[in-house]
Amino acid sequence: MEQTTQQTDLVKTEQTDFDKEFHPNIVALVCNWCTYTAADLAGVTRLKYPAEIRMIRLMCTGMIDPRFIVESFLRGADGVFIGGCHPGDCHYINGNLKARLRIGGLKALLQGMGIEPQRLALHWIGASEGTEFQKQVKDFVEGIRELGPSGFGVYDSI
Amino acid sequence: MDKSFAFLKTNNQPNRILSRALGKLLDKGLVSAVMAPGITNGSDLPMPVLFTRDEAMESCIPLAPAAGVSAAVQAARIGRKVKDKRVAVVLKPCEVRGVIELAKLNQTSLESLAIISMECPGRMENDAYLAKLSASPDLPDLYLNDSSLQDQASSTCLSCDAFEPQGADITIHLFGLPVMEHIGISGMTAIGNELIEAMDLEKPGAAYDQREAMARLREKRGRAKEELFQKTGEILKNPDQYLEVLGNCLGCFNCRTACPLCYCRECVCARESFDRDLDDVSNRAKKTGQARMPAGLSMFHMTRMVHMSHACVGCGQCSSYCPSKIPVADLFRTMGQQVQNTLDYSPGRDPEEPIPYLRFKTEAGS
Repeated sequence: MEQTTQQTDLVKTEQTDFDKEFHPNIVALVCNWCTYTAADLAGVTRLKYPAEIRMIRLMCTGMIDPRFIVESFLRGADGVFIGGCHPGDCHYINGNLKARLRIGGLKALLQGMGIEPQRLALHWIGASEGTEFQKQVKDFVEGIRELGPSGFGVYDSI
Repeated sequence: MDKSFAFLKTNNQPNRILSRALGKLLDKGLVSAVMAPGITNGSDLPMPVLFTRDEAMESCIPLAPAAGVSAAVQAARIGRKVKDKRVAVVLKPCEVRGVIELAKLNQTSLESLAIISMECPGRMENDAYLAKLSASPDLPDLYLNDSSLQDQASSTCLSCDAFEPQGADITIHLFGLPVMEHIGISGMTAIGNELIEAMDLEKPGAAYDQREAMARLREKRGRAKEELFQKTGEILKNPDQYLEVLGNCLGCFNCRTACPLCYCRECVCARESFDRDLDDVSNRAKKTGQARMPAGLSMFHMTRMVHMSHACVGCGQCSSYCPSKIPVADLFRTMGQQVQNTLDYSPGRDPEEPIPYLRFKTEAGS
């Protein structure tokens, strides 16, 4: 993440339209079986979605340790987007349902730490839903853009 | 009041007399051991002590207003190991909640435990207790009857409105009773009633109405709790205040050690993967000119919050253990309440209630 910031710093030598906008750092944790495939489909279908997301492919949303999310925010992410299979479609039977509960609790915790709840999103996006993926990512990134930087990285200074 | 409610005459020595009543359980062979706060050679600080002979019960202080460590961990050790005998454990209400939570986490079993708990006036911090005790040796008895002493309890206890035991077999009633004359004991379960039979108690002549005393205390402590949660909620949300409060953290992991619910032998936060890479530190330093070398303490506290906030029983041991006097328990209880409200869960309420994160619904829906 540090590296990316430095790279954008280098590009910033001359102002372009791109630079006038706030470009949030967004970590996307996506399930291999559905949302990642949907992202692939969106790519193949040439559906454009915001380039601000850094996608990380996981085998299942059920394997998301809350640490991934907490650490993302502490290290300067402005939002975390999670995409998993629709309930009932999980490749591992119920990983997505476990993720839902875990993320529900974590959301309350992050809210208590002053992080807006919109900064953490969990969506069910099936493998064939390329357009849905595009729409959700667009909406999410726009939402974060409106919220501005999270500033949660300050908490990491101890 | 409960059907099996009975009085125990205390003759100005509630702790001594209650110890003897517990000794009778040993004498009559109803329990194979009693674990209760007591003092052992070398220290006046009440610690969980395992008693197996009733004559040794003289050093037992069942209603001690101090707890060197959370007895929940020790009770859980007994529950895990003892299978075919019954052991009576005297626990404070928060410790009862702790044992119940540990049972839900498959760390112990409640089968062999006969849990005896009391309406808890709170515990003092260890150093405050020892200082006070050297001036007045009768402190454990006086404390029960003196609200000005009870106001010197730890800050966690002063803002705790869960002072009534839930899930205990026997409850010892103190509030609203003339404790220097007699205390109330009631059995909450079949096992509790069986044990009470053996204690040779008096049937109550006149019924005492505890409701007023209870309501008064609940109101007082409840208000303190709301104020505390309000204040601490602001600290958690405000980076400046947060860093000011947690900035003195040494990363000693004492809060983790003290926590009765942190049962992992090897803490995930102690693993190599939690070590902050030197490149990270130097990158941060390059940005702002300086960076603290022991890094990742926020990560540690937040990880512990993620793991424990739904289960925090509010015993306050983490605050008591902290060498930097950080109000860890305030932070955890505040966060705990927010998470518990969201998950609609109350730790230690019911041994049958599943842990919220295992309660996922299997039917479809979003």
